[in-house]
Amino acid sequence: MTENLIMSRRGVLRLMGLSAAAVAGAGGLAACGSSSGAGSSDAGGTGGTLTIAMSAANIPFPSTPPNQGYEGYRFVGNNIYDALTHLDVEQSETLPTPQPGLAESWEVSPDLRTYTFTLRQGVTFHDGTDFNADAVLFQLRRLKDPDFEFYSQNDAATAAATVRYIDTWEKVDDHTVVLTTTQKYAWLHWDMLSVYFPSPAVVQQYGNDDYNAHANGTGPFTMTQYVDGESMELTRNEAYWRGPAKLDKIVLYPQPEAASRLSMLQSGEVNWAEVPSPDSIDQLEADGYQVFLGKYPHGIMPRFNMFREPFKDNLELRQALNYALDREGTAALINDVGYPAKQWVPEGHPDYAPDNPGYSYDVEKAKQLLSEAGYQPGQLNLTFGYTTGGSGNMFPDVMMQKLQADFKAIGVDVTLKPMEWTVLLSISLDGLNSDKWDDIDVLWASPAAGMLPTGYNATFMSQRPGGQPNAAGLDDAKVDEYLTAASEQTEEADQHRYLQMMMDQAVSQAYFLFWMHDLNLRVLSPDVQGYVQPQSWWVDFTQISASGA
Amino acid sequence: MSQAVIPVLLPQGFGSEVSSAERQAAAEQRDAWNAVDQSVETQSFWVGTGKRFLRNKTGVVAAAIVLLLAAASVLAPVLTPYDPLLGEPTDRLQNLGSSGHLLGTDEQGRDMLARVLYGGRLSLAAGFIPTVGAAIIGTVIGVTSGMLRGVVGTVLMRFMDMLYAFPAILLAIAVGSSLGPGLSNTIIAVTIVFIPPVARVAEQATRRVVVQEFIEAAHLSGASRWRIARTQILPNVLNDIIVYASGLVGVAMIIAASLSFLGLGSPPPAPEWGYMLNSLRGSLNTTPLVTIVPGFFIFLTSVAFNMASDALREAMDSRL
Amino acid sequence: MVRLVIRRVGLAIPTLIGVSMIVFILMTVVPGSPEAGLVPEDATPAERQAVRNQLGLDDPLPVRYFHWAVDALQGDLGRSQQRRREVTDLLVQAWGNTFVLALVSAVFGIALGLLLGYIAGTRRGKLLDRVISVVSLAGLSIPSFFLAIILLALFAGGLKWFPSGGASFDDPVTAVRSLVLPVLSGSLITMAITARVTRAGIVDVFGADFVETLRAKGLTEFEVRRHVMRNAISPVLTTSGVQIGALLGGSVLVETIFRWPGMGLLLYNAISSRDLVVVQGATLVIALTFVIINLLVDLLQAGIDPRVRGAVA
Repeated sequence: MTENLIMSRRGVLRLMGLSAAAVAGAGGLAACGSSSGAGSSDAGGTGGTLTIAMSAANIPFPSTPPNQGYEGYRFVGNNIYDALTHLDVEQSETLPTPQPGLAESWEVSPDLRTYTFTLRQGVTFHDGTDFNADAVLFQLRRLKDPDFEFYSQNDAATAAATVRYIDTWEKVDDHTVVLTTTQKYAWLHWDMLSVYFPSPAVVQQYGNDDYNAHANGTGPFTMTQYVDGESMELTRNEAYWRGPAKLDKIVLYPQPEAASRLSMLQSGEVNWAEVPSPDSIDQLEADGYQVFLGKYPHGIMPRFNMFREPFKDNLELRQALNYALDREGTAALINDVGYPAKQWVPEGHPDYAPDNPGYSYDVEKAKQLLSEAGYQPGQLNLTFGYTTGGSGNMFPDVMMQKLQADFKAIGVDVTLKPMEWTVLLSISLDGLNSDKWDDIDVLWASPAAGMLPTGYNATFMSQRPGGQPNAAGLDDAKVDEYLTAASEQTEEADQHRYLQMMMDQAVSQAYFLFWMHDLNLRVLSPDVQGYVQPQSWWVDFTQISASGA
Repeated sequence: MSQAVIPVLLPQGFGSEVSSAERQAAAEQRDAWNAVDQSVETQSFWVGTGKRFLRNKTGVVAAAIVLLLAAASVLAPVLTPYDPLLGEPTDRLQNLGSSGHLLGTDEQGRDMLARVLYGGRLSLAAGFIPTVGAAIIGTVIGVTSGMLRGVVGTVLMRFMDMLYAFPAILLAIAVGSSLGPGLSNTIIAVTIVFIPPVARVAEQATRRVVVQEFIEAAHLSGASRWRIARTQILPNVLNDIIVYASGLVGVAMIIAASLSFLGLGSPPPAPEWGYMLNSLRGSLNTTPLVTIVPGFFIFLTSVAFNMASDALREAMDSRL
Repeated sequence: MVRLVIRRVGLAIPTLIGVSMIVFILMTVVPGSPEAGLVPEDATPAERQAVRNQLGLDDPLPVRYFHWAVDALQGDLGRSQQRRREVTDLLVQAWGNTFVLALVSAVFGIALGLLLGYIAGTRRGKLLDRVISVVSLAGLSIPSFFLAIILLALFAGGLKWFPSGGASFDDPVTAVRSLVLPVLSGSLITMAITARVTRAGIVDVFGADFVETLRAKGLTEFEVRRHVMRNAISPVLTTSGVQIGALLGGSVLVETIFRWPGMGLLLYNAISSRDLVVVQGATLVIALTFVIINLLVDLLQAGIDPRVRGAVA
């Protein structure tokens, strides 16, 4: 069987090469693999309690959808709830894709406007009521129908992007639901990954305002305790339709400080720590902890302000800065928990542009391009807005100072403008053309690059929904054309073909600083077994056990 | 605990060697002397204070440390060849005493000694400027309020109370958040935090002086309020203000360090000590001594300021 | 006495109103939109506006303040959409946690400070006095976050005697263990200030005439000292009041480092995430706490020391 593999960083890098080759071939479906292969711990054993130090600032709400970004989905949403489709994060070999979840199967009409979902039978919510088409419609109305008695303004606002393309919904029978889309759209089953279904009976009993205290879904764990700001306890659902999970309990703690997550792990208060301080990895490995690193769709890809000078219409400048980045050096500063990016998605991703070499570290070329761009050394001063907080941002302070040094080496000065996470989000909403923010030349961005094909919209399209321009001013007709075309292809291979063309255009035009990919640093104590590190933000908890309890 | 609990009990002061009976007598003598002939007495008062200060050993040591730190940070370019803002990433997190790096290097490979020296400028500025600023503004507000009494006085002091009814660090955070990051904004925030307590001290001192006879005399002799304020009240009030304000410098520095620890100070790569302490936290296990360096310097500077301020207080108050 | 209370309470009300107004205005000046965290990054203007309407952000400023104030007077501090909870609820939870921490820190710090100050004051000039003075000076000068980090590394990370954070009151033992490090970090400055004030007060009183008189009357040294303490206590009361008030305001730094879910952390997070209702509510409670503590201290002082009654009012 599998051995206890504690991954060293060298091992990971070697493995990435192998898995890149594997992924390039995989494309679409992946088998629900066993946990053999890279990035897993010893399988076997049952029971135990997993105590987790999350990087979120607070416990994610057990609402539908949860908040706190993808940590909300990872730790709370996917455990309490199921969706119609399900990412196969039980395996680590291939990039996860939508698999049957609460929907056993689905059919898409040739014009890509009608989706027929056949629902799984015999599934019950934690309160014992049945999951069926009524439950599906109930939730869709909660998210999309302001006249519905149980319409939830909060959930609707948070879920807006995932249900934007749903036009109508209809129950055919107790186990069949038909959804139509607002336009030709190949990716509704990807969107449905993020739409969770609560028990209608519970929502009706407690109302939206009080629902969170009684969250109730169909997932592998039930919520047995929830103290806002302190902790959440999830307990195994014995009646789970896939079969009960191995763990007895999961306890979640919020801890936005990396150093504190580290101390919690070392003191034994938790046996799972998200992203501890990178410098501690060597010590942790020496002490017997399981350090996991693995490729997944996440990167730091700052956006150039394309609304005005100096980046508008100046390809040479954008390229110059891309060549000026010492990515290896940055990776070394964070103890290799990230690795250099050539394009927006990692190499090996199906949307990676195959013939485009991307950008490397070439100071001479950078200097040359800078002068071609029309700037002498010392002439250009850029204001770079970045965030110091918010989980999923890797290590902004360290990385930004390195970037500052890199740019200075070719004669470009950078003024750092740190801001709170909320402010960064505000800028993404307002756009860099807003008076409030128009002094910013480059904006930090940490996209889940390539996790969902729908994730490209906000960053690449020239128009955001509602007629707003792209937040960074990106306006490329070709990019729009390819992305739209991709969303209208029936065959996945064709979708990826168009996306590759889009990626090729974006890379050649250097619309972003292609900087780092994240390696999903996670440290588990030795007593945790059965963990498989998927190539995803989400994790499967059903096969994990903890003997230390 | 809110680090910035502004010392309230001064000018009685604490830690002083002098009893309040002695102090009371000295204050009365001082007021009387000031009433008689301004210029001569003021000068010898300061000279006398200076002499007494120098006689106090701890005070001298403390003042020497402060001067040393100030000199070192001003002369930083001479004292160290390293750039505090750019480092050699391959050299990161070297321990104390490694070759060429007396105090080690930080997480970006920058020399710690250089960062500490240059950072001293920022810390000293963040300590002195708000204190002086608040002393001036607070004195104006407090004296005005103490002299005018009536509605204006009450309104002013109530407004001061509003700002004062707030834990200093939280007020600093609120102001700092609205102004944005940066040293000047930090200085403004700390100044605002300090104005109310200084105003209160000034107001109390003014009220104490205003009722005394020589003020009546000056008023009757036709001196304008402004003249009275300048020549009679201010010199008397100034003692209390200076004594109080001298204790604030250390507190100002710590509030500024707290703000930069929380990320509200100057943006990186500015070598602010508080910020350095935060960014080195992650490597506390691997190179603890390097992590402690900026904290130690905050501590040292703060101790020196506090000791010097104690000695100054004693020197100003004990008059025999 | 009664007049004193009425006057002070009367003055407190405009103070509280003023504080809440100042904070209200400050928060509207702060850059960043409160609804930013509640909508996806590609939200349409309509979606965004829906949330803004829910939060009431686009009404004119005075109107917003007025509504908030009217509700607050009736005990309704609003609902935080970011936390999906009633603000009062959040405040009760946070205040409770801060109260425990503050109480233990205050008791520990003041008691220890009194003891040390007494020892130092009664041995004025001797070695013990000097040592204690140095220690209090050091305690006054150490930044709390620095001390917290060191304690954390030593006792939680290294020796593993105490948890690295979190407020847990499940059972007495865990409760005490989780309190130790935060209390140590937070009470040091209280201890230092109390020690210095006590010492100064004792030195003062010992120098006063009436002590000689007491001795001449034949009281034992112990009884003399008791008199001394009673007289020296007044300044200690004032500073203790300020300390307790500050502790009850919640220490952001200690609470952040030890993950103690109290008022300081609540307010700091609310400011960062632009959760306006929470900022307003928490500010109000903290200011109110200060006002009440100050009032109590003044009353206590007036009660103890008749000379003060006239001066304080």
